[in-house]
Amino acid sequence: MDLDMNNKNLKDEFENLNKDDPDFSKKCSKLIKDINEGLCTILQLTEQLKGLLVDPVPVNREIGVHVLTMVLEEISHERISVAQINVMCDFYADKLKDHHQIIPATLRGILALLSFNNVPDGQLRKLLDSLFKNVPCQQQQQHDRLNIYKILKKSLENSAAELLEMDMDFVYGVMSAVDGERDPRNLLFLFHWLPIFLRQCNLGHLREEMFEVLACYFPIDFRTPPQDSNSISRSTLASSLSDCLCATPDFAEYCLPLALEKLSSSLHIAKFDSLDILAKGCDIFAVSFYIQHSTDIWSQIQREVLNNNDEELEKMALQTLVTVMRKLSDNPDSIYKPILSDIVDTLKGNLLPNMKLFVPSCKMLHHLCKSSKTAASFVIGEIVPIMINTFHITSTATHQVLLLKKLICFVWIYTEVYQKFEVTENQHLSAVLYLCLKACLHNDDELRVAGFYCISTIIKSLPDDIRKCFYENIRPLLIQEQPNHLRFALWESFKGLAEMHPSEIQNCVLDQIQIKNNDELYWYLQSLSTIIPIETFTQDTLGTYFKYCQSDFETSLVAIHCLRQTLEQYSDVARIQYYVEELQIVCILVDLILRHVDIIDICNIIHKRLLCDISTISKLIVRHQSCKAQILYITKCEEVISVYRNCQSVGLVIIIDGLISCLHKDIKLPSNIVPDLLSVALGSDHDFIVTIANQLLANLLNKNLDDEKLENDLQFIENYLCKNWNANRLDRSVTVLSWTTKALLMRNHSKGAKWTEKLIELLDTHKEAAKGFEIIMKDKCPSLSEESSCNVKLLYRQKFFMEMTTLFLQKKPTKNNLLAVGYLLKEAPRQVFIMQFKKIIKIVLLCLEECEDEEIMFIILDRLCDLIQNDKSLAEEYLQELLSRFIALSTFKSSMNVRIKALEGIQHFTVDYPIYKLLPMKEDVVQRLALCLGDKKRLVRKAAVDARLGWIMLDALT
Amino acid sequence: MELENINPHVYKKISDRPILPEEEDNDVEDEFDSREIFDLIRTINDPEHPLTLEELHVVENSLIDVDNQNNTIKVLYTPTIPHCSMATLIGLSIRVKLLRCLPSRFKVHVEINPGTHASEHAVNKQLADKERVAAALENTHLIKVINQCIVNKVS
Repeated sequence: MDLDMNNKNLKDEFENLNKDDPDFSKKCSKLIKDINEGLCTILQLTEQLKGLLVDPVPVNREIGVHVLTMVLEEISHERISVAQINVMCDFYADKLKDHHQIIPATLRGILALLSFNNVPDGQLRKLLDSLFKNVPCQQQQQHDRLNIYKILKKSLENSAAELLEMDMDFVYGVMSAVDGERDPRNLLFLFHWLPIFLRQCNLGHLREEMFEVLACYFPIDFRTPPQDSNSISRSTLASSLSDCLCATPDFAEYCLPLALEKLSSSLHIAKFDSLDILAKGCDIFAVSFYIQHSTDIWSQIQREVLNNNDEELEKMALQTLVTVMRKLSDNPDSIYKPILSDIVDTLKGNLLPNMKLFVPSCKMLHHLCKSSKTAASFVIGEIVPIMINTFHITSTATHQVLLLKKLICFVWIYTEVYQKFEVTENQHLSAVLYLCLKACLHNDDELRVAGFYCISTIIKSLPDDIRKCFYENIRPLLIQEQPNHLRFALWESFKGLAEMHPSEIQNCVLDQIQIKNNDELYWYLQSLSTIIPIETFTQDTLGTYFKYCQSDFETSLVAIHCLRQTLEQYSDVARIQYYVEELQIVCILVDLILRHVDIIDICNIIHKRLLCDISTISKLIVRHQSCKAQILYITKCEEVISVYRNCQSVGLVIIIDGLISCLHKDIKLPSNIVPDLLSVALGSDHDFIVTIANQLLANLLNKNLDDEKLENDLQFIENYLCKNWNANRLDRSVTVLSWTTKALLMRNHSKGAKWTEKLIELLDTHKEAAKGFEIIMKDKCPSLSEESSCNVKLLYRQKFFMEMTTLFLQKKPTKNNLLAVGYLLKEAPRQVFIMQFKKIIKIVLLCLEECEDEEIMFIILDRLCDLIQNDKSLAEEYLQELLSRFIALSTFKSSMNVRIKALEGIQHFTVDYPIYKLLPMKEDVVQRLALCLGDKKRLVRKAAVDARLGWIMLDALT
Repeated sequence: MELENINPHVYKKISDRPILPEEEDNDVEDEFDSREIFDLIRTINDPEHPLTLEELHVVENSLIDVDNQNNTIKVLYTPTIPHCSMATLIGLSIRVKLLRCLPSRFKVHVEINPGTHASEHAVNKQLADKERVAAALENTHLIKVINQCIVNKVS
């Protein structure tokens, strides 16, 4: 189609086309391309469209305007002259008077015209006049209304001056166009644009009308349709509406009464939005309006905070209070102070700590302080003396604590508002600081705890004299036993001061402390451990520990125990690790044991603790060291082994475990200790040593890189077990067997399967073997962890669980087998339990029915309870089966724990399960649970009450 | 709705009942005692305030009497102010909660602590009248309010 060449009438081309037809847009694109390439001019196009544009049939006129509009939307701006734009504007202004069907295309055309930067003066006004006069906005469709709003927005952006000349006509036009809009999309567009409009235009006598147009949306009550996930939300609409209501200072006289009226309603969102407006208005409305309404605002906010059950609303009300009061603080004191004074006077009456309104009143006072420096000084001056006075005349420590906590908030807020930590210039706050110190020295523990915590939060504000006095008083406390909560509070303040004033702590506390006995030493070292991470103290403090570790035997027992606790607590602090390595502490401690090997008695609980402490300390240090550094321990270890073989002091096994179990895989020990460990594991009388021997054995087998040696070791263990088979101590043999199997399975060794088979064979005849499955499945065994350089293959427990459950499903469900399944379930990882659940549910339920072992019963119920709580959809499928078993077990005679667990399970079903599935069973469950209400055990009754109430309340009216 | 008593005294909650070793022994029988009954009703919410009856000292451990032999339980409660119009409602809530949580062998008496309420006798009579209690529980509005009081907000 070439317009220049054949010059034919476009009417024929477009007449029978629908505007949604793909051909239609194709043709339009061609026209646009032709014009852009200069093959045809806009004038020619108009002439050829003439037939359509003046056609008596509205549909055809619509098509004509549509084509023209599409061309205007797309052509490049230099293809159309000012004169042509002028004509177009006239044409479109005229078209607005045309048939309603043509309006949508016309509106789009006008929008396209406005995007040209050279619209002649006067045309815009003509267009808008025609628009306001001829097009009733709210009778158009949603999209056309949006276009009208876009036209208005564009006009204001392009030629504000011209529009301002229109004066009230423009304002009135906009107002009547917008009035009554209901579509959230359009509203959101309007709410974003209107603030700009309101700021630029003088609303004159129309300002109340304009405000009313917007106020009718307040508060926004709108719910997003559930299927529409990323649509407009209520909060976006509400926040943009409040921007509109607070857009111009002119609205102040209407906006504040509106907000106050809605704040007093009972509707939650109305309160929210009103508070939002009150706060937003502070940026724009004149302060005089706020003064005028100050009493109202205050009484409403007070009401919200005092009677409120909603934390979020309370927070918002308090925040608004701060904003409004900050706004009011711009006034001279003569106006501002009386308002403050009114508020403070109202709240003064509520300051008794045993009253319900005490806490909310304090909150309001605190927020009042935050609003300005004047307010802070005023409120503190008025309120703090009263509260201090109340503190002195109150006899209940709990109330004194409450008062102290509220008083200390004033100190925080003061430092925040004044931006400085020095508070002593305010005499009232000085008194608060002394009150804290006094609380620390009080003889009531609760008050002392509060005192110490308060001190730790205001360390930067504490003056010298209080600090000095504090140091004097904490010295004896640091070396005495204190109740836990008091000790932690004390340490918190001690640590805070050590960070802020290290030299004072060193000179006035640490250097002054005299240790008289080992009890004092214990608490002193415990206190020191709180400041070890502080860089200034790390080295010296560790030195102190070390000094006492090398002291006499009794003292070293205490010091070593403290050292262990400290190292455990800070196992990830590199600095501490570095210093303890430097001090070669491991070898020194092992030597200490070797020196005293004759007097060490494993039955003595203190000695046992010492051995364990040294073992743990060794592990904590060795595991972080490099291969090269670890080699040094080999000789030490050999020394211990040879001493052990000489004297057979089993306690040394603990030390050997500490030295060896964290060594790298590549480090080989010269002597073979497998036989020694086996004889301990099967023969020792101390269960504790047996466990260590087993774990160390497993550790060695797991880390052994030499296949031949491993083969020999395994053969040796097998023979040893056969040779020393003792029917009375079968559990010992099972334990060795299980740990060996675990070590192999963990590294995915080919022999693992063979050893597992041994265990299963044993299960057929001996129920003790079931326990072995627990050992194998157990997670988090420190001696077989990656930290001990062991081979831990990914998901080995999951794999073992899958294999074993599949096996047991095929086997006959004998008692022993069910017991083994129980132990497997006990330690099974959550994910794999859920994954396999459908497959194993049958055997699990069978366990619940057949098994008599209380422990297993409890374990299975526990796992099922977890499932009921956290995997509702899965448990829902088996609701009936599970529930009936649980109800049966709620009267299980021989174990109260089983009864409690079963009742808990029954209760969990009442949380978030589809009510229609539960209701048919409700009557029965409630009736059956009535039996449990009279259980002979109180704890069972408690669980029964919870479960029964849960079921009764399922469909109860609330 | 205006509150009748806007600023009541708030008392500290007592700590949870410690679990004694014999309570964990399946073979020992634990008798019902006043503390157990108190634990059942202390968490009931006040109809006016977001506080529990315990915090307002409406119910107290010392005002509960349990007789295991004769299967009777007597609970006295103290309204926060002598003209409290919620007194009957609170009494009903206590009754309903105990009805749901105690074995049927017990006969429960819920009464106002003597001398603490203006219309003490009238309220006591209402609470003791089985028929009137049953009738009250048929009232949907009333049972709604009672359920709100009984439901454990944080469990």
